Amino acid sequence: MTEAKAVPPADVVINRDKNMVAQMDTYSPEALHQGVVLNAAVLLKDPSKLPEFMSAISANKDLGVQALNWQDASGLVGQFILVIRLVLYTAIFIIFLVALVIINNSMVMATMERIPEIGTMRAIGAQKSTIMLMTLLETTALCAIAGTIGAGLGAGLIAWLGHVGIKAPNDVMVFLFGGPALHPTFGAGNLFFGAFIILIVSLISTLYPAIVATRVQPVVAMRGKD
Amino acid sequence: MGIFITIAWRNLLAARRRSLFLTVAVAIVTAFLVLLNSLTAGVSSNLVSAATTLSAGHINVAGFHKTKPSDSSPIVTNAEPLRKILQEQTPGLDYVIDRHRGWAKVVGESASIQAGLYGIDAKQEGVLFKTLQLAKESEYKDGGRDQAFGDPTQLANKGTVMLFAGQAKRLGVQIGDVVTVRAESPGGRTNTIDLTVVAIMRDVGLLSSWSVFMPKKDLLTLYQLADTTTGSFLVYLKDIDKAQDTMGELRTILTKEGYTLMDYRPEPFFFKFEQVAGEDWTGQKLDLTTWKDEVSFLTWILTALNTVSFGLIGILFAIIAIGIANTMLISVRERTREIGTLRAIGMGRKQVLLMFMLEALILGAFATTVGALVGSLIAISLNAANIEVPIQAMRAILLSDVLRLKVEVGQTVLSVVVLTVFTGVSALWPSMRGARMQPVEALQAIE
Repeated sequence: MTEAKAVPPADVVINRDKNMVAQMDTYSPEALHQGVVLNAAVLLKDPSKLPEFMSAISANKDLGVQALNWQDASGLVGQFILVIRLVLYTAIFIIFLVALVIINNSMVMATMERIPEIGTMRAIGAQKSTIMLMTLLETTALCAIAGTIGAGLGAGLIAWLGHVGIKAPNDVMVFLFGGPALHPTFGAGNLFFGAFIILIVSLISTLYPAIVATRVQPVVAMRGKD
Repeated sequence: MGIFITIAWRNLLAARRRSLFLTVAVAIVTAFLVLLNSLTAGVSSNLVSAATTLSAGHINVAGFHKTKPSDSSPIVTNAEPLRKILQEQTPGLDYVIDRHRGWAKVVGESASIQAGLYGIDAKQEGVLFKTLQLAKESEYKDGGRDQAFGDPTQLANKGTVMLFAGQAKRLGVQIGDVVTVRAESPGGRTNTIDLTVVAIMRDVGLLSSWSVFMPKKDLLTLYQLADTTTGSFLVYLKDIDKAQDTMGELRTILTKEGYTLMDYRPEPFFFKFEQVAGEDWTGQKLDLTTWKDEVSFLTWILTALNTVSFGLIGILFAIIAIGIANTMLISVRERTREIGTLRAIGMGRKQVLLMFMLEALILGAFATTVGALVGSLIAISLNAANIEVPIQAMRAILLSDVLRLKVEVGQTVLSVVVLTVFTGVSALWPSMRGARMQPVEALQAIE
């Protein structure tokens, strides 16, 4: 931050593309004597504090500088991350949408098969809420097991890829990966986020079958099948 | 066969709820496949039009001139005789234009950019001016008006320049402002020239971010070049698909006319400086490329789009396949007695297999057709809506400032067929289980 203070309180914006010559007029001779910088790169110990830090810089009028985050400062290249993230989230959304329909279908069929069973339970005193709870709990248990296995496999794959690295097949990928190989990493946050999403998707997709199950009348238990 | 189709159709109708769910799932996936395909096709056609208006003709006849072996100036000396040959002898020619090229620093009010310069002769550039559209002021100026200003035909006057919206925004300039262009001449001197912005055009993706158009005369002054030189001839054919073949014919013609040609390298001219500078020859050599070669550094966008599409559709279809297999398995189990009866009255194993497969195939064909129609409709209406792409990086990748989707009938039909076949394949294993049942066991199976 000491470097940033060397910039005089002129109307100067931190910007790599500033033309040196055009800028010269805005510096006083003393400032030039002390040394001039066009921008200062600030690295934070905790990147999550970035917004507060930036507004703190902008609020301090004495500095006479403007704070840009790395994405704005790096222009087009920084935005590519945004695009990739957008594509990824859209893809995940579509995948969950389709998974939702498929799980829903399977659960409805499972419920239909168990109509006599549910009827019997209702006949011996189970409330609608009990049936609902039972159906939802079943899915939750299933998704907890499948989710854990899936997360474990995913984590294992990422850990392995992080170890070996994904080799960039061409120059463009070298540019995107920021090096000859990509070493993906994951945090606990990703795992919890994944678990949370899969739980939500499972619960939503069981909702309809669960309602179908609660509609089963006790009397069906008395009837034989077919 | 007809009877099996009827049975399969009635079975699907009997299990209405699950048929509906599966149809919805398959249709969603098909719709997305069609959307992704039309996006790729849209970007692909953006690439063709951006490439052939901004940076290349269908065929480019350019070259390098070296006064000493370490030079590599991308110019063609004594251009007029060459133009005559191209105009008279190119098979299937539409028209020929020529542009000078350069690489320079453009300095504006608030910033500077590195850009490729095109020195053009406004009289030849009717197509360029017609293809590019003026950008609204609000696109390059905060709080600007929703109206377009400027006139590209003023590039006929000296001291003018045409920029693109993204560049103008970065440079902080608008119509009437002056930008300074600084370049190094082949002799090693740094020259500058001040140019007035007469037109700011709408972005056309990555290519427009470094393309700046100025009068050829000014570029000649900037680089201290004789006006008998040019940068490259852009040869436009009546049929763009013949570019590769016609280039071959032109090579023969030009060799016969006494020109020395460089070996064919399918790369843009700015990839070749180092190699040319390292070669031991002086004088003039011509270099012929097609438009595809000049934008070969952009085809990764199409590869990336295709990879993402295939990856996404692959994962989606894996989910669908599991769903279909599961449904069919339950269906086979539920209908064990039915299968037993059918087998007992003389239906063969193959016919049972056929019956179940037909169920999946009919469902697949119906669902994919619905999905493809919905997808095409969405694509067509999104395209008609002229949606502006908000993110700069996205514009660069999509090669346009608006979302362009192009539904190709052949590709859509192919998607329908392929996905239907996949649906059938997913049902193969459960159908085989059904077919393998012994009639006696099947009849005994009473829960």
